[in-house]
Amino acid sequence: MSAMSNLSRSDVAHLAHLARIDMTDPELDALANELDVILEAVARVQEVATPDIAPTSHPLPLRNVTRPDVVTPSLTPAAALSGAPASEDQRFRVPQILGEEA
Amino acid sequence: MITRAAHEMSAAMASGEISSVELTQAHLDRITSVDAQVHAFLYVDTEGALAQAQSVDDARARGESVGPLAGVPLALKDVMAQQGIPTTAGSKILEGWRPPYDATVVSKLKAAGVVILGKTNMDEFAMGSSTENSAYGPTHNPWDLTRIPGGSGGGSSASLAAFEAPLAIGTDTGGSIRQPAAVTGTVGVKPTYGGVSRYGLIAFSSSLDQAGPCARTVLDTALLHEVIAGHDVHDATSIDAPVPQVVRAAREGSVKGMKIGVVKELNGDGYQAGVRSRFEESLELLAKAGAEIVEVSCPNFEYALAAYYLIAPSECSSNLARFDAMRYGIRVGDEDGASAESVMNLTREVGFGREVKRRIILGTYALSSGYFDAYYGSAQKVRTLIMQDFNKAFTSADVLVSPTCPTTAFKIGEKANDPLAMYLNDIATIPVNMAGIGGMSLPCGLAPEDGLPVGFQVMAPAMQDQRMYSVGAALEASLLSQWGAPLLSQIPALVGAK
Repeated sequence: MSAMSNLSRSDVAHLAHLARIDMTDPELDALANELDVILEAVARVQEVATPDIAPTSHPLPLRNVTRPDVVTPSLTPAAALSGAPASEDQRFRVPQILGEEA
Repeated sequence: MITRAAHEMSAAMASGEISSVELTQAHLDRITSVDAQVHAFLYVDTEGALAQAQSVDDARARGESVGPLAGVPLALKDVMAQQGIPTTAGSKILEGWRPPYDATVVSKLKAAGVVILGKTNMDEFAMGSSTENSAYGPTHNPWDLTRIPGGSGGGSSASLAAFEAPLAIGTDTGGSIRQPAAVTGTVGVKPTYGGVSRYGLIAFSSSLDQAGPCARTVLDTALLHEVIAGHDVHDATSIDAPVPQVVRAAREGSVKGMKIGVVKELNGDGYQAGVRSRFEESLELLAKAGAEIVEVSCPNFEYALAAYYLIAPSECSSNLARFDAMRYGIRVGDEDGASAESVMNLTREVGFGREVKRRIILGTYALSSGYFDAYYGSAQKVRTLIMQDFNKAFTSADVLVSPTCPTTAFKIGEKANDPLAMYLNDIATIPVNMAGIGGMSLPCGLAPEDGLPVGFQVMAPAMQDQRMYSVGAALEASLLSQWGAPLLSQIPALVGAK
């Protein structure tokens, strides 16, 4: 894919795969067109983003926050599992994760 | 009673004129009567609300001292986790989920005796400016039911304008509190980033998201602000400092000697004539009230929208990876032999709406190796430039002001198929989020050409939130003496409402 738009259906399909969304072909086609327009608009940031400017990731200076290593109340297993689509023996039950294609 | 301000309702309860149960029931009745038309609520917790009201009435009867908003009803944006109450963030992917815990904002509301009526509609995962992106259908603006109530917090703002609740909670990533406030004639504040805990707020863009108070008056907004603000050990980005004295500022409402900077770039071309005229009139009122009006220039603001639509989608593509159909939310395609990955792919395809997918894919692209520097990296540099513009502007002004939105409320469906046109709604609100500072929108009149509310935005430096309330209260008082009654007294009655 090129840096400045003209995304194809297969470009978007690759992105959809990375994002783990099983999109239909009409969705991919529509999105390819929309992304072209949006990317052209947002690419304006490159006009002023010169090498001498430091990037900002966050409005506040971030530092790691820790607390004393003591046991505090937390969710019970039943509460933690209460929203699970499937559970078994106090654990989340998930579909097959081994032996699938990479 | 339901058209009064929250602090007046509180006074009425303190004097014994009305109980919290009666007040809560009156609001529940109002919801029953009008919400079929407005659709502000996704869920109404009748039982929980009345139980909380009863416990406040009981505490009062025992002579216990209760907080200033105890017993007052509130509408909670559905992006906030509330224990045992359906919480969807406007998305199909969370349909049926009942959180096992309370967001810190919710814990604070409960502790203050505030009565949570229910959960309000919103654009899915707070992505939108019209509430049309809700998986559960749009909310209608009570000023004109064919128009949008703003977004993403359109349900919260509409509930205030429709007198379904006197208080509401919103969240603001690029304007989702302020723009809905502007187009519904209500007040909304995005506090300084880190001023209100994000624990239990379903994340969209973590470096931009901020919960805040919404109400019909500046003082009510300040009272709610003080209830929900403060340091929280559950949020690593929460500011460990005293809460700005916003209630005092709202009560005093003085702008004498204040320097108010009009941002040159957030006005003019592209702003509706009636929006501009109401804004200019408000500046005159503030000058009469003793403020000095100056002009400031923030030249990099014109790149803010572009940077925002890289940073927010990038962060969302990462944040929304948690919706994997494994631990909560819906699961699709879990049939014999289906792999976890195929279940994940199918669930996310079915569970996410169009705008959410668009932003996830855009963010995935912007963060891709080979494009990272050109897009996300450049956007982060623009963020630095915007912060520098603000810092410079705040050396010559105590607060900055602009219209909140370029236009009044547009028609439902008008911009639904044009993402860029929709994104332009946020052009004046986004810089605040990029810099992590505070922003308020309050009503400053109706645009003459369409009779719809116009919002006035006040921006203050980080942790100087009280300045917004000083300006907001002063302007509100000047406007009120001009109008003779609150702006919302002019709202058309909802047909069929009792």
